[in-house]
Amino acid sequence: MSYQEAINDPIVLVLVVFVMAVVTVIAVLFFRKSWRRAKELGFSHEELMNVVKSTATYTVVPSIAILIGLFSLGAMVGIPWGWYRLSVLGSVSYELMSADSALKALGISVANAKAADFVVVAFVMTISIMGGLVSSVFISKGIQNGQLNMKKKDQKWGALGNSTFMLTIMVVFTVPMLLQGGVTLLTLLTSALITVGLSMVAKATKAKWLNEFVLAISLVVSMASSILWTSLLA
Amino acid sequence: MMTTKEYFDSAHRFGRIAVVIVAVMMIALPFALGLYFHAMPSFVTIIQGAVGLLAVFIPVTISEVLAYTPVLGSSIYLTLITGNVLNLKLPVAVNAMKIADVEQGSEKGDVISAISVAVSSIVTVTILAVGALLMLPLKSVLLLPAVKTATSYIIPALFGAFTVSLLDPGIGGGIKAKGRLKGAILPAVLMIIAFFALRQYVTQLQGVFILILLPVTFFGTKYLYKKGQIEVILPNEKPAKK
Repeated sequence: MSYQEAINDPIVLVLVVFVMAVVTVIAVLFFRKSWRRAKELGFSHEELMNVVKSTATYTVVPSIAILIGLFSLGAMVGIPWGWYRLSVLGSVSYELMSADSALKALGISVANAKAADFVVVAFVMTISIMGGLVSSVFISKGIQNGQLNMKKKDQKWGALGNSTFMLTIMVVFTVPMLLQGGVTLLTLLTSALITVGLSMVAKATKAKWLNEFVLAISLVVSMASSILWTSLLA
Repeated sequence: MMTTKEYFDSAHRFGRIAVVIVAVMMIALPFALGLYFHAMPSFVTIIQGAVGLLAVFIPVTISEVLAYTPVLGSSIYLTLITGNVLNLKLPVAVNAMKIADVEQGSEKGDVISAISVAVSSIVTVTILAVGALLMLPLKSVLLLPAVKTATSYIIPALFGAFTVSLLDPGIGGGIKAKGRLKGAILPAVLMIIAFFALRQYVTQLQGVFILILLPVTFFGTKYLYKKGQIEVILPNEKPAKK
């Protein structure tokens, strides 16, 4: 059987649909557990629905970006396997790199490969990305316990200390974008300006509902602006 | 009602069990394919293909767990299971916590983060499923050059919005930390140096930079806090007069 026949064989679709169904059930169970606890902690139904609406709205555009990545990934490993890899554990950039590296490391050309080569690629793509998932079982609870202990000893320092993690992530990703200049910098600045503008409008008009959509609007408009910046700088 | 400790123990137990289930299924998938196609590869062949990727991905993925767990709490398990962390789950969770005005790392932050990650996961799986089914008609639209350009700048579009939130002294739960950006000065300077020294490797080394700069930001901020350069004001507390 050829590689192309293998990646499009119905068995791949059956297996990945099963795994994704289990993952979806897990997501629903997490949602129920957290929702119940949130109600116990005093959140109102309205407050929680605001979170749900804002999240769902915001998720649409990045999901479309992931779908675009599926076209490229699908050309290398088939749509069913690509769909599964982008829905479970992976991300577009990791999976494209993983598929490409696996094919090159094994000297596989998709045009001439066999079904056995697809099995190897499937193994390689699976095990190479699992480091974080496996390590979370051993270290995440300890990290969170450390945070809670820090807060118990000193509430103020605990809150401040917890905020340094996101601050670090922001520095590592934002500084290179600012220095890179060009369309990347302009898109980042456009997004920042739109966010500030919309937040000011929400405050001035007392339209609290607008705050839930600031991120989604800023994302779409600034991504669209990148088309303008690209044409201007070309 | 469970205590905070009981809830966290329960949430982490649930998360760990979910991770084990998903990890076993993920490993089983290629095994099943190997059996079906009568083509089980040797361990050596698999390692030959994976060794280069493992060298890059292991530090990156472990640094993600170290950096993101304090932000996401027990929802880290579902976040990792469903992937797309930087471009989707992390921003969604941070935004949700901001909307609900809860502190990262607190129990309230934990449950809000979990709700948002779960909703985002379900929406993404649905959109990808619909997209995969409508692949042919959608392809012509989604592969337009303008659409491809716009989606390639999703990360700066995301981070632009988050950069604004850094200017706000609020760190959730009604707590304000005035001057907290001072803790980012040294990490930013180091990142600038790293950018010019290692420009072509900056993207691949992001995981390493996070691991190195986490303690720099953490202990630098602590030092500044102890010296009174950063003031933390709890809700219902008045700022200190200067």
